[in-house]
Amino acid sequence: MNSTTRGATPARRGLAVLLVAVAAFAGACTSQSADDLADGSGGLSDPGDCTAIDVAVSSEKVALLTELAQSFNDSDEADLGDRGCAFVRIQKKASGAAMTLLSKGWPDEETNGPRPAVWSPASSAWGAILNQKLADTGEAAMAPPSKPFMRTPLVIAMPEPMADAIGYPDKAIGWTDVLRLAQDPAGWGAFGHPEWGPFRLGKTNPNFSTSALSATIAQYYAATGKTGDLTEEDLRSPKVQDFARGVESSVVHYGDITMTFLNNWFRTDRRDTSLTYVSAVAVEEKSVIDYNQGNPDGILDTGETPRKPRYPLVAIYPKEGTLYSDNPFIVLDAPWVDAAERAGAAAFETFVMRPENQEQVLEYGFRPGLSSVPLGAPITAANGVDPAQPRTLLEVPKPPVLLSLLDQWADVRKRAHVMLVLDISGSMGDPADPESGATKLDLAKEAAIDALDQFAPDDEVGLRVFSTEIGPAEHTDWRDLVPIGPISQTRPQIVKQIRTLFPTNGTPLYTTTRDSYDAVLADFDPERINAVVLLTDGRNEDERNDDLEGLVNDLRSRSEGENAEPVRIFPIAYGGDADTGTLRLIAEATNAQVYDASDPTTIGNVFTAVISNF
Amino acid sequence: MNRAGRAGLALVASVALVVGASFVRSNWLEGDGGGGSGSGGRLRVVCATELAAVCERFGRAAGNDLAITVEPALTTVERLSGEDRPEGVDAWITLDPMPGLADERRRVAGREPLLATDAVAATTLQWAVSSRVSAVLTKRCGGRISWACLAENAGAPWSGIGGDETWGQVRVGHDDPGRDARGLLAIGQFAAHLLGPGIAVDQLSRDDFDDPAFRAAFGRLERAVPSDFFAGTTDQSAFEYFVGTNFAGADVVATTRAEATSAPSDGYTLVTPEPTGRVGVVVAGIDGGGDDLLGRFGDRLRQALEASGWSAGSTGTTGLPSAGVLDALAGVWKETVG
Repeated sequence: MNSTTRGATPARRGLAVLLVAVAAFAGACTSQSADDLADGSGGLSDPGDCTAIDVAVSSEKVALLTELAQSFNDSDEADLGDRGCAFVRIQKKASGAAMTLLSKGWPDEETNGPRPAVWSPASSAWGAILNQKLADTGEAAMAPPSKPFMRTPLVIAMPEPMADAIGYPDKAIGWTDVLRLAQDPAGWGAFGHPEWGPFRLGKTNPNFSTSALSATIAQYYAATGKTGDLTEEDLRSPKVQDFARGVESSVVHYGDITMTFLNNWFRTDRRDTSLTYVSAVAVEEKSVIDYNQGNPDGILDTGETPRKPRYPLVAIYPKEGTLYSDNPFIVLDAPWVDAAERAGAAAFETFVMRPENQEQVLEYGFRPGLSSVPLGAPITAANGVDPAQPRTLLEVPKPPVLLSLLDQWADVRKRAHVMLVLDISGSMGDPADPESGATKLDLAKEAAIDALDQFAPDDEVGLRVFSTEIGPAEHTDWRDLVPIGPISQTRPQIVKQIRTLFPTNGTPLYTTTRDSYDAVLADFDPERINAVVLLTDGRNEDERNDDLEGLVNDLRSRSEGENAEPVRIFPIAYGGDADTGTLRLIAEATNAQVYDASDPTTIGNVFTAVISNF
Repeated sequence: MNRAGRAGLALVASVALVVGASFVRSNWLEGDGGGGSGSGGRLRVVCATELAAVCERFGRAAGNDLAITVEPALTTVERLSGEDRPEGVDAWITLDPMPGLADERRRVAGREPLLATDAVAATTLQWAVSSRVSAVLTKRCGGRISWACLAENAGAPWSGIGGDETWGQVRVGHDDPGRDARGLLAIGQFAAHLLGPGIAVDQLSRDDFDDPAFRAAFGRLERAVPSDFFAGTTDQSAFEYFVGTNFAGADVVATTRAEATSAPSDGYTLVTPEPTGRVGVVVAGIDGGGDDLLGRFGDRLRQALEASGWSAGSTGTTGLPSAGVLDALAGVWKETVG
């Protein structure tokens, strides 16, 4: 352990750097907070006498841009002459979330971070959607045409043994093959591997995630046989809708970031169960490189040691064509962006496009935006990707078509069968918001009721509450207030029941978790995403059952294997005393994701993130 | 020596330890003298709590050319990682890999590395096992006490595992991993042992701590740690508490050979846990402060270390997880103890 680090030199401007993005990322692979939906602004460095250039970027490039911003801030290029100096500050903001905020004028800077002068979503498509949304309300466009500064294509990532089984790369594979696999009752048995079970697709929610937006566009193109000029008429075609519905039927769950799938894949790979978790995930090429290098989310967290996976991923470039995430550098035409900020933004863009910085882009697994920088490592076959691909590019649909496509997706997406389980232990009565005086339970009730609006009418949702000694003799730890049913029918009852909740006793976390899992499993619907959303603010306080290891092993064993009927548990670690480590174990045992609402006032955003899984 | 005599000696030793530590803690040999390095001026030195006795000797030997502050290592880590240019520190005498941990936190926060380190001495991690329980525990563990065996039996009544019912439950002690380097290294050794059969210590990764069997064992172990160790109700180390309570406050405590030399006693037996962990003392400097310290006072520092039971050496810490993995483990520990 001779980690001797000698000769560190102070940087020119006192090393004032960009904290929030990287710090927020530090725990991203273990628990997801609302920060993909709404980052706070806490921790952004003081720009001193310089003009702050706030840049909102999608999560996969935060580390890269933070590093580039540091270099820029310490360089002479940040000197703007008569305008003083520029100081770039990076904040992470998921592309879809940033688009939504911008369409609303970026409200509540305290919660959402400072209004950006520059926006770099993963794809230009988000700029088009933003402008269309603004146009629909009679407002001026905010995202002018912009240059991409790096690219990465959407691919279908598949474990190497599975890609081998279907003949890739000798045989071209695309979304039509995915559909065929998804609808084949023999599943992987049709390819001689019944032990892999049915074909299972990992795909995020296109309202939040660029890879999902690109995958959804590509699916629709594949259904039409076109490579450009997708129309609203195309979207209305029953054949196209059936195709989309067929692909979506194989989705294991959605969500707002692809890292959930990649991290779960990586973890199950170590247990040699990854091939029955998901068969393929729609991700960006860069993610395949990161995964195969042993760093699935592309960020080396504290204490994370890269390890090569047992089954590397292969990037399948869909034969029908694909889209690039083109990472535009958009200087916003927004009323809050002044001339000095524009000058600073332009200087930073010039800096990012310098050849040496474009080579840095390549080091991070992106394809450089500057054509004079040749492709090379790590974009190589050894990392599961093909620099000669993609050979067919798809056209980004026109903005109105994009909006219709998102509406269409809401109709065809896989439906959910969800039990909402709320902790009503005594500590939920603790104050949570000093301004309003609201308790934790008050905030949770409000957020839960709001979240119900995000379900489709035919999603099935029920409500259970838990605390010690609140149920009947046969199960004293919990009480079902509304049985699971179509939310179009259960919603009024759920709202009414939530409004009547009040804090009670202790937290029988383990028993409630197992019983809730069992209840959803007993009613398992293979046509739906089956899940438990478990909100709790404490740790298990049940002396009758404190066997965490037994619980986790039981959940894990029932979630693995080709015949598993997967019920996902999405815990929300609510408030500062929640047992996040235990909740993470519970989530991971069911190949789901824990959500961090340690600041109770973020619970609304966290619920939005959780419901994006459905 | 009879039991009463041993107890008396232990109490005297513990009082001496506490008084010595308190002296240094309350007497920053001078205040923040504002020296700075490289000028031959007064050096501002921070010393980890585990090295309080060393720094007391060292400070006396070096005289007014040093302004020494004693504080827990994790406090210094926070100080050095929380600001772009921390003020008031030229050099830090601490256990390896605490400087690496500070720089790792700086990396995560987007700050440049700060510290240059030189190893100056080392010792081994040990358990001090109460002589009262040693034979029973060794037998229970199949002839050799291990971290896994300790975790398996932690909290169990002694009467159920071959001991006397008057001994109560099996209690294990270590320093506070959220505050002290030695506590963090002890649980690092625990993790290296439990996960070791499948993973080499230099390949450990934070994800490994999500193994439910590991979590369960860790939870059992931590529930058997007397709450005084972490409650802030004592300023003693786990070993000092162990000795000070005449070996009644805990049955086994994690310590180092160097610390144990301060209070030799028949009341406990030193046992070397597996995997063997060697703990280094390092001087970490900012802007050349470490070089300045070693250049001007290196010999006196090494003499003070040797007088306090440390062996001269320049290998740093070996056989234990890396700084980043230890930091991740500290997070797991916080989750575990709540």
